This record gives sequence, structure tokens and C-alpha cells, in this order.
Amino acid sequence: MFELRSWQAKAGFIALLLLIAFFLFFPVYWALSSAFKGNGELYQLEPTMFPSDFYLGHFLTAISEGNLLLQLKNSLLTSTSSALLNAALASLAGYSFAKFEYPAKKPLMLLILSAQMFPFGVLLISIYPMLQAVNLLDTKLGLTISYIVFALPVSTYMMYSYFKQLPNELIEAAKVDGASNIKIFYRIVMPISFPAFITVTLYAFMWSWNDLLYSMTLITSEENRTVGPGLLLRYINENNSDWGGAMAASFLAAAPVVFVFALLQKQFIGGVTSGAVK
Amino acid sequence: MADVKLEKVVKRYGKVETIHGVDLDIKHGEFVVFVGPSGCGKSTLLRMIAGLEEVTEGEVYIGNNQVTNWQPSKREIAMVFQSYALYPHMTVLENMSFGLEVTGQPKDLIEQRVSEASRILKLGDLLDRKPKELSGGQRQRVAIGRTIVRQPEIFLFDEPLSNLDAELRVQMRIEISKLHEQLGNTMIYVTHDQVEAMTMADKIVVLRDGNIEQVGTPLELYHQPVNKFVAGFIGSPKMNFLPVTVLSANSEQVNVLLHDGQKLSLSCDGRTVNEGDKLSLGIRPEHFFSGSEADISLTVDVDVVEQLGGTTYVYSDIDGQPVTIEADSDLELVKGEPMTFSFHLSRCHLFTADDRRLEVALSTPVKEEACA
Repeated sequence: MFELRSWQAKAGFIALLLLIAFFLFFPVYWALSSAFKGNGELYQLEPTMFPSDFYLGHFLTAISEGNLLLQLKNSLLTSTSSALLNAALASLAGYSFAKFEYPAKKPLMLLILSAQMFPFGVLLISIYPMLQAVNLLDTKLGLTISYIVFALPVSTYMMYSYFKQLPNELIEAAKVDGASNIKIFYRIVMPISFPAFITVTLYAFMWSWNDLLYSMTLITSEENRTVGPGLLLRYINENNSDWGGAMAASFLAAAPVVFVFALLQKQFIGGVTSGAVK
Repeated sequence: MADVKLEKVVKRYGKVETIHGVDLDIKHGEFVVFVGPSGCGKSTLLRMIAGLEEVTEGEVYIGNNQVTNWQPSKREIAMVFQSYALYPHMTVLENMSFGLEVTGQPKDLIEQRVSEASRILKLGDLLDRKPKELSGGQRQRVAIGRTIVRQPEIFLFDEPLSNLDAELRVQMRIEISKLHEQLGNTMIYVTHDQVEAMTMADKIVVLRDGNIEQVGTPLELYHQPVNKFVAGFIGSPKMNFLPVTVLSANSEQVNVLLHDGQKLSLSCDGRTVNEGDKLSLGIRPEHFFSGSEADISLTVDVDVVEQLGGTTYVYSDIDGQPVTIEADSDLELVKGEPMTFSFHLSRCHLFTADDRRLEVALSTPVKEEACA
């Protein structure tokens, strides 16, 4: 790490950070403040920085009109199940790659990682007919499975890296103690690897929650629609003039991710940095 | 009965052979220490007995069973690892009971065994703590406790004290020896520390480059090392080796010439050496005397003096060979000044150019006049 010695250098660095923070957070702030502005204040010629009074109408409209709650429920269901399924599969695959010896281990790992090299749009071309063939188009299950496709390679690699630095002696001690491979995995390895498990779960959850392309393509019915396409179809079109509603709905849609992240961020950071220091 | 027997055991990693056909017999109840420098194969050998390392060739027997391909859990063994390998998310109690729990033992038996082990190892107050809340010595005791509760036939220790500080190491060494006396089980212990080996073992196995160099009691190895490697490895500080040249040799006596022209006559079987052969004369630092009262006297310039309180080590060199002398602690020594010391020929060993030791006869050696 570099060290800033003079106060001028420190001040300059802080100013630079503030500038970057401004570019990152001003749009978020502007969206939030717009969500609390009444239509009169929102569309006046000279925009105001702060809402003059905290108008909650946009939030109430976003919830009461349209299918936002249903879409949130669908998103929560598909994202949570795909995240947990992805983390479970990545843990098993990563553990196998890290701690077992078998033929073609490296090519197999490369094969899994190679899925990450294709643009998601390209993968969609093959996923679509596969889901169609098993009647899973326009179903939450089909969408859940498709989400796993793009989160699994990186998640497997993340779990592999974590397991790789787990001391073999722990596993050997459990073996000598008489535990089977399955028992070693869920009684010893997984409890120790909880931060890594949380990290890949969050990673997959955020991927799924923020997805637009797959959910737009694979889901066509209103009852299965998730929140991303729901917002897009309702608010982003040539006839829309409800920017306050769009901002309020967006914040309601982002709330679960922020909440989950805030709840698990300690484990998330721990998981990301766990391999850095022995 | 938990005898352990290794028959022509070989270990290969790909094309690299690290253990070269080792044969070894360990009797029930023996405390056997595998000792040798890093990379000599002592841990690999232990892990093959444990079943954690595949045996490439040869056979491993425990009791009457050929266990070469058996899983570790089927071998009636328990192992203490160098890093202790305690399960970090479990309490001391859970760590100790895990082995019994996963093998489906009844709860009251687990409680009884854990309570007995914690009494022996004085762990009673620590049962609810996690490993991170324990000191190094306490962790070590938990690791041993985890093995005791399983009541195995054989205890395996893989350098269990190497992470502890010097004082704790001595303390744990004594505790493990007491435990062996108390339990009477077979114990196999790996260390690179020859002091641990000497103080704990009934039998020491000295390894070098995947071969057994010598097996014997600590004193056998100390007094009758089979070669220069064992002689140098056993004993601390290590044995000194002075270059000598053979003047004449027969089945009862070898006459050699020291660097300074002194002629020594040692009673040993010299049939395999010839006049003019270069040999090494081995003398342990603790077998030197300050002054010239013993059989042979030498004078050296003092290079370094280490005063340990109870004893003093003097470092110098003779004819290019480093020499360590253990001297009395009250001796006044100055760096760069000459120092005269002496030794008895009965304490010397002769090693051939291929490191083999010539057997020294017990008859009184004769000091001869200098040749010059």
C-alpha cells in the first residue's frame, strides 16, 4: 500500500474520492429525492435538490397499481432458490476440485470455467430450446435453472479457491476420527466455509435479481414476471410520464438486495478476503 | 495386541521414489520415535501407517491384519497432527467427542470417555471453549485428548510439539511420556528434534533419504552409531569429526595419524581399511576435557564462546573441520586465545570414507608418541 505523507497529498486524495463518490451516488440520490417529490415539484422547470415535502403517493401507487408485489415475490423466489442451489452445487464441485484427485480434474474444471467465456446472450440461444424441450419456458423453475448457468462457473472457482486453502490436516483428522466423506463435508468443511458460502450466495442472488435479459426472454406471462422486466415494461416506454412512480418502484425493487447485502456484508467481505492472508 | 510391521514399503510420487523399501517391526506398547532431517520420509512413513498416504509397494500390518489398503478409521489408530487440526467451529467437548459421535457410540459412553480424558489431561475447565480461545499447550492437550477418547490401539504423533515454545515443549514431552506409561499403548512419534527422540523413545528409528539408517534404543544409537550420519544426528551439539590417515590396520587395531602428527592407536576391526585411507575420528563435544589430563591433547584457537550458565560451548576448527567443545562453565576463555583440551581414545569412533563406523573394541586404548 502506498502512503500519503504531506497534508496536501492527503487532501487531494480525499477530494478525488469525494468526486468519484459524487458521480456514483448523485444519480441514486436524485432518484430517491424524485421518488419523494409530488408531480408538480417533479416537473417544474427549475428542479429542486431536496423534496419540499416528503410525498409518499408514488410509493403507494407503485404498490397498489400494477403487479409490483407479485413481481417482487417472483424475483425473491427465483433469485433465492437459484442462489442457494448455485451455492450448494458450487460448494460440492469446488470441494471436489480442491480436495480430491481423479483423472481429468483440470480439464473438467476448465470446461466449467469456459462457460464464463461466452456472452450471456449467446448462452441464451442454447438455453432457450433446452427449456422449451422440457416444457420449462415461462416457468419460475426454468428461470431459476437458467440463472445457475451463469453464476455457477465463477461460484465454483470462488469455492475452489477457498477450499484449497483449508488445511488438509483438518480433513485427515476427521478421516482418522472415522467420519465419511459426506460427514466431513457437512460437519467440518461447510461450517468452516460459511463465509465463502455466503459470498457465492450473495453473488448469485445479485446476479439473478438484477437480470433483465433472461427474465425478459424466458418469461412471457404476467403471473411469472420478475421485477426487472416488470419495471421496464411498466415505466420505460414512450407513453410513460410517471417518473416519480418509476423511481419509487425502483427503490422498492432494490430494497431486498440492499437489505440482504447489509445483513450479510460482514461474511461477504470475510469470504472475499479470506484467501488473502494465511 | 497392536504390533506394527512394515514390509518392503515403497512410496512413489509419480516417478520420484521417497521411501525405498522400508522394513520395520514395532512391538505392542513400545514408544517408537522416527527421527531424521527434513525430507527424510519420516512423516510419509507415519502417514502410510495411518492410512492417509497410499502405499505404492509393500505391506503394512497392524496386529494380525494386513491393513495396507484399509481406511484410516478401520485401523484402530488415532493421530495427533503438527498443527493440532482441531475443528475450529467446535468446542473442546465437541472436538473430543466427534470421533465417537460419528461412529455412532452411545451418549453415556461418550460422556464417560470425554470426562476421563479431560481428567487425565486437566481439561475440565476448558470443555466449553473454542480452539481459538486456548493457548498452544492447551490446544495440544485437546488434540491428545481427542485421540485418547477413542481408545485406539496405536497413537501416532506427527511432530506434535514443533509449534510450542521451548519451555512448553519440555513440559508436554514429559506429559506425553507419562501418558505412555499410564496407557501402555503403542506410540509412534515423528520428530526432527533428536532431544525429543532421546528423551521419549523406547526405540529410535533414524531415517535418511527414505531409508532406515539405524533402529535401536537411544543409548545404543548414542554409543554405537552404525555410521557417520547417525553419529552426527544423535547427540547435541553434534559429534565432531577430525580427519585422520590410516598408518596400519588389522582385525584388532587401527593406527591413525592426526593432522598435527600425533599417532593414535584404536582397538577396532580394521580389516576393511588400508594404509593411507582417509578416515574420520568422531568425538562428542561432551567427551572433551579442559586441559591435558586425558589420553590425547590438542590445542586450538578459540573462535566463539557460548556461555549457557551450567556449561560452556567453545567453537573452533581443526584442520578445516569445525569443532565444538563442551567445557566447564567456570573456565575463563577468550576469543582468539589458544585453548588446550584432551579426550580419551575409548570415547572415539572411527568412520570410513563411505561413512561406515568401525567397531571399537572395549580394551584400553594406547596413547603413542607423536610421529614427528
